[in-house]
Amino acid sequence: MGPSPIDTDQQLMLRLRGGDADALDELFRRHYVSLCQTANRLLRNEQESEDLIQDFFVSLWEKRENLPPDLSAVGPYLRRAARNRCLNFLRDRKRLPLDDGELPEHLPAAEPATSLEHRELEQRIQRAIDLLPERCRLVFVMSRFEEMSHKEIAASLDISPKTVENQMTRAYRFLREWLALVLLLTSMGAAPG
Amino acid sequence: MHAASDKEIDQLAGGYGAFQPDVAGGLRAVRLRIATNEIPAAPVRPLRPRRWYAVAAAAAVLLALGYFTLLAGNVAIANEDSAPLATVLPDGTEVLLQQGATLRYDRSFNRAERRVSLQGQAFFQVTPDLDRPFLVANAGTELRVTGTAFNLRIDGQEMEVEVSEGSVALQRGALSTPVNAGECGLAKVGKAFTVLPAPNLNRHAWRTGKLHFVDTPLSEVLQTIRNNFAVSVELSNDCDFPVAGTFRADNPAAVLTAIARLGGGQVTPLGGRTDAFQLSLDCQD
Repeated sequence: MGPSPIDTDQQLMLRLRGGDADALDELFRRHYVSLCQTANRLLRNEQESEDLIQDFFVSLWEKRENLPPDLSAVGPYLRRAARNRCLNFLRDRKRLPLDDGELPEHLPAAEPATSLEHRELEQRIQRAIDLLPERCRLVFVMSRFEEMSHKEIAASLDISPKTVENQMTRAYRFLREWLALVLLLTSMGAAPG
Repeated sequence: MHAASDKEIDQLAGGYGAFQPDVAGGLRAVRLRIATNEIPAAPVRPLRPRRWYAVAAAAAVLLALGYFTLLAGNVAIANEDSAPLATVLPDGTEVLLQQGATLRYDRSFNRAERRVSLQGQAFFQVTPDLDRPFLVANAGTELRVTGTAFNLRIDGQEMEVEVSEGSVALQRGALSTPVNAGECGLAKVGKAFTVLPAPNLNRHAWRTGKLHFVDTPLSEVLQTIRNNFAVSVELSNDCDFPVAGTFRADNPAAVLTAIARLGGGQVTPLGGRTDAFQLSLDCQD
């Protein structure tokens, strides 16, 4: 019997452990999009993110017998495992930052918004996050989107909790200044100098 | 003008990294990967002509198994045995030759490009190398590969490629058609390239020992078996019915027997041969 829509994630994981391929399909349908988005926040590459999450599901199937038998929080479990894969992926490709890096001194991409609509400001902020030095960006993403504790972030990036704190302060300060500049330029209707 | 609070920043940043991945396509890719990984490895005889002196020493043995010639740097590897023959090319590409297949390349192989020719059927795992494309030319069509795995069958002027990993391109003149993982591309002289879905990788069956059909007409099933094992199969009447299921395909006789049973009939070798069969089915219509 295939999984029914009312099966909980926990039941699906149990079926997966027992070798039910339909359960894997259903877990994939339920979690693929959000896991890809988690990966994309860390990797900033949609294709790599999709490939990595597909690999993750292949290995869930192949290592199904080693899955924890009493998993209650399936969503967070999958998300944590996917995140670890992303960090290993970055580490293997030497893409984990080794230092704090520099914030851009000039703000070349700060152009006045055409309007102050919420949607546009959102896009601006999201682009500004990508301007953060990589360590600062990863710390911000892990803390704000992945809801990881400073201690967890410190361990996964191999830095001190103090550095995590400093990078968070730095990220917010930069984003606030960036936003203020965009709003200022917009209200003046001026081109950036 | 007010300075935004951290909370406002958090709200504005909420959609960071959001995009819409292709769920159905992703699931297909995962299923294909799982199916490919689960395929058991067929027993093969290894041949690794990496070191010429080893090859020379093994020449006497090879004469019994297949033949292997070195003339002015030209290499031909043929498999005349019923077990698949594994070989490694100078660039590290692994090739598995079916019985009756011959692979040739010359001394320029792996300089600017990697050009080989094939007659018969073989499975290739091409070493990735963007600078030296891997090319198989036949009857005006060129198969272009950078690094991927595929089954290739060349029968006279017909070329059929089924891709299990990555993608390849079929090219003729200015025309180029990609063939992706889980697809089969067919090149025939004077006809446009055809690309068909091939999620079950049935054209790999001679190597993988597994055939999977989903409501496939008998005529198509028999053609798959003919191409896979280079055998002739005659049908005693005009029976046709959809075939569904997974078959162990270690040898053509076993698959044909299983299929004959589905149709309430039997299979007999023709004239005591091992590569020709007659299928007698009992169908009422």
